[in-house]
Amino acid sequence: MQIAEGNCNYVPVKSPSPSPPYDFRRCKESSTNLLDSLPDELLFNILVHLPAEDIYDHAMLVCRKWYRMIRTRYFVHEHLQHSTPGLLLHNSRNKTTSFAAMRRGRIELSECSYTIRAYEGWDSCNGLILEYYSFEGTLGFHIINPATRKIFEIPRFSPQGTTIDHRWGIAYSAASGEYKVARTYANKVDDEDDDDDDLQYVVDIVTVGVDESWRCVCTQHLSPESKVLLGKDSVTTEGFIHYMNSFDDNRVLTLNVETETITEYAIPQGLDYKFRCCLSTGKSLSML
Amino acid sequence: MAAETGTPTTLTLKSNDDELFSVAESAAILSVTIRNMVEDGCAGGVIPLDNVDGKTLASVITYMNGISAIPADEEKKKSYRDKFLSDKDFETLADMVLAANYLNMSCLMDAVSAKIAQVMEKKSVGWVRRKFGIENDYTPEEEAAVKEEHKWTFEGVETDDDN
Repeated sequence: MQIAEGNCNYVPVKSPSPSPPYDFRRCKESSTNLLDSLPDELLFNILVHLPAEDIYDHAMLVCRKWYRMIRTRYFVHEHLQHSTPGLLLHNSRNKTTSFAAMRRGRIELSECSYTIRAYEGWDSCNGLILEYYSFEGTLGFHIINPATRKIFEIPRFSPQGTTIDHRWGIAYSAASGEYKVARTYANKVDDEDDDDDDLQYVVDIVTVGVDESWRCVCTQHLSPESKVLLGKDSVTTEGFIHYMNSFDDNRVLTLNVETETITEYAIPQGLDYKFRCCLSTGKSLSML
Repeated sequence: MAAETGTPTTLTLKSNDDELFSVAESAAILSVTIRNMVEDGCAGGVIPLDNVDGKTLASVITYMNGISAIPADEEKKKSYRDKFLSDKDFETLADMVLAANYLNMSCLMDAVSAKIAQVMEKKSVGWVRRKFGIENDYTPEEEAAVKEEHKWTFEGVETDDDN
């Protein structure tokens, strides 16, 4: 089974024993088997094609050398390049999670080893699942890697005052090899001159496994009309989180998780007000 | 063996068990190793391939002829590769990945590597060790620790939804 784009990503958890960097030495195992002369780079090429479940359930247990080879950033990166993109689907009615992938021209549906718990919401990226939940007045996130069966907590957040329009997304910053989680929300601010409350939109970001607390993303350059989009639908493509109002706006706000900046784009002409659905197709944003 | 009649240039390849094979140069130069020999003018007589046995070389030549007959259509080439490898067993695939590496045929090597991984899917650790000729060098404690590393550990995650 494969999940989303590649399922070999690891949430940065500390390895129990720090291993030396992997080097391309030849096999030392003594055997009459032909494969005992298999150079390490060829072995690497084979293992990188294995589904993540097989890597973590079997391949890592084969011998120390295989373990060391798999436990490298380079291996994880290469595995991601070879993995099958697809959609992670959660059926809230019968509580099942499945993965739909296009392989060899056919759509394959496989059941995910992890069932997304209902909570408040979720998102996924490269096989990692981000879950959003509330706990004793604080809001929390954790990231689950169904392949390694690891769970990783992200700093919690205690909203001050009344907050609405919560949105969240996880994206992979390929250049730094880091995952970042972004959350947006609006603070309700009493306006004395007006009966209506003002909404102040905030975008916070955290680098998974690095940051101890959330950092604020600059939104000063956005007009108040644009900022409203931050509380609407969000879609993640590789390295970017897009916010938009599918039905009555012709703008998209795009957060680049690499540079942590938000840019406003116009929806292509001819699509304004008419498009109904926005999908992430790997690296691109598609509008139907 | 040579498929094309219009271009008569054929090469003779010799396996490490002294079998001789004739193959069209246009197909053989899919191997960068052979292409370099041809370009360096070393291909006048017989080309010895010291790291490939006759059985494997016959198979590789079938592949060379098959794939070079397909025009530049990556989809068709891919489906030819899939079909070509579909009936090969693990040992044959292992021979082929070594041969493809020696002959420097990256497309074949990638396809065979992916196929080997496909054969390995869902196989036990014991099966993999046997097939790859690997001795288990973990101590029982280490092996248990590696197994423990990837168990579901949900203890400690409390949410309002938990009962």
